[in-house]
Amino acid sequence: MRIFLEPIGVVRGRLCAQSVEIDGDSAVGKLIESLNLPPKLNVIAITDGKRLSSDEKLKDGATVKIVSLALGG
Amino acid sequence: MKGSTGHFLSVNLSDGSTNSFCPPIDYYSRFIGGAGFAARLFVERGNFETDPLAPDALLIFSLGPFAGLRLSGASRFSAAACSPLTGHWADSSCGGNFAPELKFAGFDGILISGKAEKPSVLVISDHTAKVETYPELWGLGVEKTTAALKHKFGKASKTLVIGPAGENLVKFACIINDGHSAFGRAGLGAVMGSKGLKAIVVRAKDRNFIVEDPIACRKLVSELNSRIKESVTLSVMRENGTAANLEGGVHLGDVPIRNFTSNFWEEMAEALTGSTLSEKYLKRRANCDFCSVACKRIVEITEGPFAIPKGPGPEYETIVSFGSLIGSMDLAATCKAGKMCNDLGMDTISCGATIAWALEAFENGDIGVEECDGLQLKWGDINTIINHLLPTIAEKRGGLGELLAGGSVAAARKTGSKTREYNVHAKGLEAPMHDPRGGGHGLALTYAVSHRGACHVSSPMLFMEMGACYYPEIGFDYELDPLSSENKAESAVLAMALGSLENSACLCQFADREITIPEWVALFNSVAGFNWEIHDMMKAGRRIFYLQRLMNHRYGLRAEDDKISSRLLTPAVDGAPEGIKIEFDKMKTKFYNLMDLDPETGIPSSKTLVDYNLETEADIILKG
Repeated sequence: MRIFLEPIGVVRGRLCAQSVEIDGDSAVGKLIESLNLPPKLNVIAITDGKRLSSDEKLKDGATVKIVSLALGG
Repeated sequence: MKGSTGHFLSVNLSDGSTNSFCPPIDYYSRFIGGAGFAARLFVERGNFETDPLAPDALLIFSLGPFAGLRLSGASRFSAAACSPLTGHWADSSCGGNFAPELKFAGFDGILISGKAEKPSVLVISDHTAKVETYPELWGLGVEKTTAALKHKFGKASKTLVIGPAGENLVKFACIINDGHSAFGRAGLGAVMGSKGLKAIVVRAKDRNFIVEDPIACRKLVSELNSRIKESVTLSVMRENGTAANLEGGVHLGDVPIRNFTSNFWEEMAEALTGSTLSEKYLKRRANCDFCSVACKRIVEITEGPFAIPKGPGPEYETIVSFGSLIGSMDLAATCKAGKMCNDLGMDTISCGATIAWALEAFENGDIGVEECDGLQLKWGDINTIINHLLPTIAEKRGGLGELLAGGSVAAARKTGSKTREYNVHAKGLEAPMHDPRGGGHGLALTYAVSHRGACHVSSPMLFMEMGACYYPEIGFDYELDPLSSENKAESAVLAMALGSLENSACLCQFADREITIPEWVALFNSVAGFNWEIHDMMKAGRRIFYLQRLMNHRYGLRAEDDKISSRLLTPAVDGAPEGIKIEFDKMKTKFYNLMDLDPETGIPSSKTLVDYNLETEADIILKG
């Protein structure tokens, strides 16, 4: 299935793909793994303003925001 | 004692005398330096009954053992005193270039008492110091004062300066190092101002730094510097500053909006984020001494109402304090407001938060045009803030300036009970720009139990919740869900000890994320010769936490004061954390149990005081 990606903040410059093709029954954790982003960016997925847990199943054609937890302050 | 000079400078401004003294040698391994060392010195020499702004109040600057080491993130130091803003013990941390220079000049810190008859400057050079009168500097902003001091003492001299806010005893006045870095929090600039001390200048000829094991130290520092330079997360900071991921923070619900009444504002996210600052206004990057991270910004705005010449730019806290917190998404305006706060010498967090309180109070009719000296206050009206409020507060001009110069908690106390609902603080210190509802529920706990009040640098809890830490050697080998209370008390126990270590060793919270626990121990051992194992180091961290807690008990704080404003415990109305409640009481109860803190007094049991070798200190503090 195809998942559409919307990189946010520091992820934007590091994630060129606008969408990825993953197995039909994949969960969020699998999607994030497939992005090959540096582990230290510690990215999560957000849909409709809500954070998705890593075992949450995705639907074909879904759009997810990819956000890094690496915050400064 | 290796890594330190063994000498503190003592200054009595009332008679202009300066002396050097040697603190007891055991203080160095028991309280390390920085915040911990300053606390122990106060217990020895301070008076808990003294008003924070009285002449005999103490103001202490304290270095860590690594100041002067050519290690990224090691050039910070602490200032500490009874806070005029909160009325209890507080310390503040500053980067920049002053700490190494003071170490090279022969001192581990400065202990200041008394009040100068005329506005004065403390001038420190190699192993000597003198107090000189400079009445012509009084009333000048930080920029002109710094420039005048550099002209007089040389460009290579390093400065600590207060602005008009410190002179006027604004309760959140800060102290600025070389025009850019700040002892921002807790109003220590007002303590300096109350002493008639406009500035401190230091210049050292030598660059000597003697460590316990030079070979091991050089190898370790080289490894750490390489790792810090190549770190993905720190390269993000180098590229786009501490606000690099502000946009991500908005989507997580971490960034406060309109005085913490909202957790999501999509248009603002991109407008204020670090990459936008880089694209629009960044001229170059700047760094603290010896640091490759270079998260500081030098900006220039060439046109428009907020045009500013090339100079220090805002970091994350300032961008949010004068951006989303007050309902604005004008990035140029945050640059201008930050520059003005630096020049006037005001903490951007407490200043922005106090203004946000006023905006909400005005919106709800709790204060009106009459109390605001004829001004209309409204969300996002950054023009009024820049052109009227900032100078009014710094000068304590009119009713509004006087009201806001005391900070948001005092302002609400004067104005009326309903406006207390608009306060967002812990122990009287306004909350920084990370909302625990989105940033991480453990942050609510560490804001509450931090000795100085709502503080994001009292511990690395934010980083631990965000997955930036992995410390299996001390039992932190699991992932935390930021939006849950699970494992947060256990993590906070470690976080508070680590925070005490960071603020006493005076290491930067960004850079030291790349240092493992065994490497921390190796640093202490190779530099200071402590001969520690991991548990010795963690014990020192917790000892410092307990000491600061004992001190604040003497200042009247109890377990019931370990709390945060109800606004932060009310579920968010929007954004990623919408509807999720923080289980604060559950986390606090567990934290208290794990730390052996009494549920009423908030201090540890006699047994724990013995276990942490704090009997002497407890006797002095509790029995007076």
